[in-house]
Amino acid sequence: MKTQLPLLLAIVGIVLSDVPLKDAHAADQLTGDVSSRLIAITSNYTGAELILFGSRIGEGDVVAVVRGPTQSDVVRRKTRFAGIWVNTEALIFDEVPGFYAVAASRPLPEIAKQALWSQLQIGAEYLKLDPREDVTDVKVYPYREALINNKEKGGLYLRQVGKINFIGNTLFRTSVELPAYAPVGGYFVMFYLIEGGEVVETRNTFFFINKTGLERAVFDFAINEPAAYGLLAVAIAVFAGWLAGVMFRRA
Amino acid sequence: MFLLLGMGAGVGFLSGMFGVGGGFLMTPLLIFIGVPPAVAVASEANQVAAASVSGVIAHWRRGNVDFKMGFVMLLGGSAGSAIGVLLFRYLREIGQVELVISISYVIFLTVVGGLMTIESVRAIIRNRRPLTARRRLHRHYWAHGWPLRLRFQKSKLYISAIPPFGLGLIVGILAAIMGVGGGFFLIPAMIYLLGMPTAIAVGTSLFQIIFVTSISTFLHAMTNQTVDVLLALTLLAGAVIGAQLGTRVGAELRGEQLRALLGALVVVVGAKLGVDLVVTPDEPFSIGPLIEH
Repeated sequence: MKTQLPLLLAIVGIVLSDVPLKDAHAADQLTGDVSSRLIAITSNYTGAELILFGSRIGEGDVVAVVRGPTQSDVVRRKTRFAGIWVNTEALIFDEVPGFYAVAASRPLPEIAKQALWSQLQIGAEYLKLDPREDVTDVKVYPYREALINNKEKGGLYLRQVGKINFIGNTLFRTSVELPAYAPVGGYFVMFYLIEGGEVVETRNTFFFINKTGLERAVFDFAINEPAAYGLLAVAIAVFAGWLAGVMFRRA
Repeated sequence: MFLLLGMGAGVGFLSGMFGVGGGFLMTPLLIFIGVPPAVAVASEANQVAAASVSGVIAHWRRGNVDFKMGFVMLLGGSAGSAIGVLLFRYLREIGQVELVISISYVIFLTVVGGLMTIESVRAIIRNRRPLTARRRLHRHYWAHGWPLRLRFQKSKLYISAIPPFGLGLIVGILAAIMGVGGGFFLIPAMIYLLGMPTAIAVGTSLFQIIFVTSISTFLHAMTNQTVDVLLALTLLAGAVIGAQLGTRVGAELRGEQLRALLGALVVVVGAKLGVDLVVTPDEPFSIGPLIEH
């Protein structure tokens, strides 16, 4: 897996340029970080809990957004054809985040108006997911919902906004559940300090989920050296079969 | 992990008991437990390759492998598996691979299971009556007179190379698309269409299945990256243990009753897949990664 740092930096640039800052000089009221920079997938990996934490000065609310690496997904729709259910229509969605979660110190409607959430793409319903094809919103809607529902079922998208808790006046923390099937790659975390319905300050950080050990070796090998992997798969099978045959005869 | 070992053991038990490869049961089972069909097929091809190696050793020792026949079939099989893998990739691109895998299984499981059940029920009935007719020792089939005739000494045949090549081709495509060795189709075809002796047909089909499933595994790894070696090995580990037990239990039971049982089981798996195709799905939408050229 190559690092996705350039991509992450690009996202940071896009997100930052979109943020309407109330007061550009009011810096350093907000800090934030994650408990682990690298989450390693090993053979007994069943997901991980990541702690997001930080501090803020003043009375503003804190909202945190975690986005996983993007990919293109195809959403197919089955219709009945000659008695059986067949995939007949499909829409391709590009740049679909592989993971998406939001946490906030108060319910979102109490913190700011809908327009802000929509602009910042905070909340699964405001996530920018546009199909590659140019089709009407009415047609896109069920596909988009199916995509989000599918990700939600796998624990990859959290429609429920998580709770950011304050410890004393300035320190805050929240935890994010990363499911076992969270995609491998670079994750981007954005903290927003919001006061009076407007963004006062933002902080961003990132972490990686990577396969390590045997899983990593096998995964990398299969993707990067498909021919060698194929030959090795055959060789292993032939050897294992021979071994089994020999053991069988003895028994 | 334990589920997979258990499934390997269960199918291995059946394959030991009935003397079949078990790929045609394992792939649908993997799909039932939620393994993506593309991965199930490619990894199962890998496992069948391993299982056939261990099977062919015993047959080789007994001289049951007709290498010349196997080689002719292998030529067809290689071409077939290449065609199958390319077809598989194309079907993945257009999002129809699950459908084609399901339909192929419904057709094959129903036909093969049905024939097995009917044949074994007849045998059970026949055994209750005294033997009336004897089979002829040597038959001539329609395809024997085609051109490109070759002498297959081990099988005691002098027939055209085209039918074995064609059989290999079909089985190659099956191996690539369904993740099966195809023994359940190949062995009856070799016996009834080519007229090969049963023992030689079993040994030779195992021999050629090793190569066809190996080629399929390799090509799937190359073009689809859907071979999961760890999955295949886990299944194999379970299957080896299961097959040992299965062979012992199988030796205690009557052949026709075994075949009737297996036939019924095969029909049930096929019916389950068929029902899934027809019943209105809970979720008409499915999501998959985009595959581009």
